[in-house]
Amino acid sequence: MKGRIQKSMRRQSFSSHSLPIIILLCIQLASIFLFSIGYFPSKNILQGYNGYSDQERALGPHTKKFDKLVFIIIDALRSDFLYYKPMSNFTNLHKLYNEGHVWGFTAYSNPPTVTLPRLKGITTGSTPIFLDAILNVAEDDSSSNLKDQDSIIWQFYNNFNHNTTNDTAISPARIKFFGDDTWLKLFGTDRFFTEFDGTNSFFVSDFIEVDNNVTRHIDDNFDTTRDSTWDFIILHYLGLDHIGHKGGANSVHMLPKQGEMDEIIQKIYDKTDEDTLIVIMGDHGMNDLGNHGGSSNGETSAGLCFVSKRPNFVPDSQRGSKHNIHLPIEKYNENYAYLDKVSQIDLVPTIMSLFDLPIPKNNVGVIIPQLLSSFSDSEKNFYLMENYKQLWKLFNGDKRMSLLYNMSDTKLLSEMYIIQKNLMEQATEYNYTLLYLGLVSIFVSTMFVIIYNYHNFPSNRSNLIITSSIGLLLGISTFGSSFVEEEHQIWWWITVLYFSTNVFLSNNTYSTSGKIFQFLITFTCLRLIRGWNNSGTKFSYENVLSNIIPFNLLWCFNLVTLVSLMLPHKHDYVAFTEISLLSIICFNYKIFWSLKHGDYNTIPDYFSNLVKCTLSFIDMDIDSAQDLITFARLFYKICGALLAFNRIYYRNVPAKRHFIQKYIITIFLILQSAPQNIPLFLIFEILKFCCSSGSIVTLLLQYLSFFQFGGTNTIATINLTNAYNGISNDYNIYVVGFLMFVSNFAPSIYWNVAIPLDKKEKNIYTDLLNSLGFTGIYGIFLCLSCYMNRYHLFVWSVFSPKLCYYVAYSLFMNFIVKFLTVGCIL
Amino acid sequence: MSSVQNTNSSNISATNASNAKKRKVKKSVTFSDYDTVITPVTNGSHNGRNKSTSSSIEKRPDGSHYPVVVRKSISTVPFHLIPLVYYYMKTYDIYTLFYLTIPTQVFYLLFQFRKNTIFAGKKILKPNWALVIVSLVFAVPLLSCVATIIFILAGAPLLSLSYLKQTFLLSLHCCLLSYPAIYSVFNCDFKVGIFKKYFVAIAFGCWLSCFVIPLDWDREWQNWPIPLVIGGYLGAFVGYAVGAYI
Repeated sequence: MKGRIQKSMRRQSFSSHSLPIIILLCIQLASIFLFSIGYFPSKNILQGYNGYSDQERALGPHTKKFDKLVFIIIDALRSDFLYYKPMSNFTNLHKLYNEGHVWGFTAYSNPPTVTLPRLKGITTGSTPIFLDAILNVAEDDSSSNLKDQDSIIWQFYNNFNHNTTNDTAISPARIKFFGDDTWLKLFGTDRFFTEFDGTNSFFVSDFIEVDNNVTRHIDDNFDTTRDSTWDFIILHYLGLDHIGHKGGANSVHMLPKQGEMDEIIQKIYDKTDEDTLIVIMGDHGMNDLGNHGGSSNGETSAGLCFVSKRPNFVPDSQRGSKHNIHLPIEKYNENYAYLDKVSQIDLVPTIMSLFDLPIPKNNVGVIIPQLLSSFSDSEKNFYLMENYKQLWKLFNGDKRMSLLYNMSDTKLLSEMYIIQKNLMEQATEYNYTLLYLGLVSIFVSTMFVIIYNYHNFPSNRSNLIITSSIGLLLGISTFGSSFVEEEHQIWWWITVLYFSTNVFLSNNTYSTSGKIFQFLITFTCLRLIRGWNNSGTKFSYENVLSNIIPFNLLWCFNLVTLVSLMLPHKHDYVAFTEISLLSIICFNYKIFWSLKHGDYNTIPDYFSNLVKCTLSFIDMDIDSAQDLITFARLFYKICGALLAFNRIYYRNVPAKRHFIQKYIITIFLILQSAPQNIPLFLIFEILKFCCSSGSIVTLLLQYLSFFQFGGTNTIATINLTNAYNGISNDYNIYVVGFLMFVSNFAPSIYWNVAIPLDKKEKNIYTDLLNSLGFTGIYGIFLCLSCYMNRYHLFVWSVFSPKLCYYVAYSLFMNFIVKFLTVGCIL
Repeated sequence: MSSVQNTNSSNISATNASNAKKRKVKKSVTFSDYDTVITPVTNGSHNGRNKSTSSSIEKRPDGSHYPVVVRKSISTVPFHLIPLVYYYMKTYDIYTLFYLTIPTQVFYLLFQFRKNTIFAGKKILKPNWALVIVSLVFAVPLLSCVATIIFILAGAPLLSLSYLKQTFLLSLHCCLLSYPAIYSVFNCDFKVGIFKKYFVAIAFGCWLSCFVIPLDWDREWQNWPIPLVIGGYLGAFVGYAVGAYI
């Protein structure tokens, strides 16, 4: 009875703090969301489809220049891969160019340079919005499809045979598609494509199968002895991109892969007739590390070639040889601007005019004038006029066009370039009301957080000052784009200072030699964490620890890590059994998973045999993908059951309960981490004992370890491989989203959960308030920086992703992890 | 009129300063870092040699040491470091920098730092030539091995041997910069904590200079270890210049 009263009194005194903190937390989250909604607007898209009016139909010449179209999209085909001698192995293509069968360009692809937004651009001619780049990650999303938007595909499907058959018996164009299944996501599988074969780009390490999967369809479809079964064929090759991701632009596999692509191009060229147009292009480029997504020259410079057998496709006077240009080019161009430079979306109106089709409504491209060389003057003027009308409509709405029917071609083109430039700038219309509202409310809420913290927790003031100054430092750093890209360096910088001062200035009881010993252990751990993975976008090193550690050793370390989690419970049989059970399942699952997804030779035999034994013990098959899913679900179920069990079993000993629950969560985090990162948890465990607990250590280590797990502030490093553990085909997007968060933020969650909070519940509040204060101060500066840099060149590649990470971090870390996990589950 | 006031005020400030000095001296007797480091050792031979050169540290009757202070004087400012940094920023020649730094640091120690290090409230020791040479030839290289380990633990790149060599050169420079402090620590039988701040200043300079590394300016001076060398020199300059006042 007495105990209950005490308990309820205690609860009351703390609930007096928890309500204001929840309110402050919610206000902060709301203001961050306000700002980001204003910052990531969804674009207005013109509905409906473009078509020729009767007048236009009567006016125009309406003769198709080509009958058939072949799209060969080679993912991440940077322009120098096509044209620059030391980087290029497209020998046949070079020959064709020098003979005058190829128009070659360097195409500027608008950032974000990831596949989905680029495909949207290539097919609709529109400029992408940043949300597309995020949707590229969220694989299953219906808002990103183009089924009901005007696009090249729609126009081909609906209008291709329209004109030739005089309005009677309209049969859709036969479109075939082979390659990256992003296309199928965009256009669906039910309508446009008569035949298709999608390839999943999930396993980046494979660059042979993905391409063979496309190439095997070539013989069937390019058979000169048979009638053609298609009008428009799309081949999307992924291998080159995968090589880039794996080994960078100078990978040893790059030139052979280009040779393979070149053979395919030659083969298709040989087997097509004079009425076929072949378009070879990259959807985007890559930087020298093989990554893409940003706006550097390498990433935005894709190659673009128009190839046709037609005699005089490139008129004599305009051939490269006339201007002393022979492929391959030997002179290096640091901007990757080889041959003529066009915008990638210019492809859309160009193709449409070559096939006499209406230009898609949302197109921002301008016809590439060189390709009109085979047109008569009146034809040329007609198509340019069509392009101009379409752009005018997009830019000015229904405003009456100033009639300029007698404009010269050059005048039309220059007018169109002006409209194009304006449209591209207009592509991002920020919602300024929300931006200002968000900025003000985040400022006000942060002030409240700090005042509340300062006022109510006097003992916490020194921590408050330090976290606030870290927030200030980080906040100021967001104004430099390179500091955002290399944020891990700043965290390391602060961590080194904090830990070295902490070790030597703290008033703990260690003697000098004890302090030196503590310093050595702490810094060795930190240095190992730091050296484990690459982070940031500027440098990528071959010999980081996760790369050079031998596989045998790695898996032994993984085992040791999991065993080390059992040891602290050796005096409590119940807890020991729980943790051992989970550790064993986790270890088996990680090996099972690696056997299914990775190379067999990365796992020592004795471990794979062990797993085979375990699996046969519970009636599972090592080769079955279904069993992998079942196995993961088994883990989740046991994990959940144990959390609930402990809640009841240890209800009277909260300190002990917290201790065990933390370890269960740690094993869950290990399950969601990449195998090569698991030993880091062992280092974390050691580090945890060496350093004093507290909100500053939590703050520093959660960010440091997030970056040193391979995380960066770009969307390119969002890791999806562990987001599908235990997920079958008919998955729930929220579950995948949750697992994705966990697997990317695993180390940060660890530090938020694992740092031993003292028995005093007050510490949970100060910890949360400190972290809210940090997020708030950081947020003020970040939002301000995003606002000021909204027209910066790097807005898509640096500031917007950073803002996304920030939103995810504050939602996920402060709200879900800190508040729900630490506050409720433990 | 005003000049009179000025002189008055300057007099006052001077007396204030002298008072402060006195107070500080007193304070340092009670709160100095004495005997916080290592238990006293009776290194007889060393003391004996020191006595023979009449430069040993006198002990109080109760066996504790007299305080050691660095005089607040413009002559402790290591002006020679500025042209050295300037030279380095022009050439990035880390080897030549050695040949320039070694003699100037020895000169600085002998004629500037030593002359401002006051023992027992009044005494300036004569140069202990053996120690000058020993600390330069043995202590500095040995300590720079330790410093290399510290640099690596604090994040120095370990990507290849050439990086390691650069890190070693960097720590050699840092130890050379702390050479006057090393000499003084030896000369005080390790008993004096006031020289810690010079090491801290150099380390802090190196730490602070690191913030230029992530910038995407792609300049040569962002390469390892150039910013740290410059930061270390500037940190040493500031440290030796204001060390006496802290």
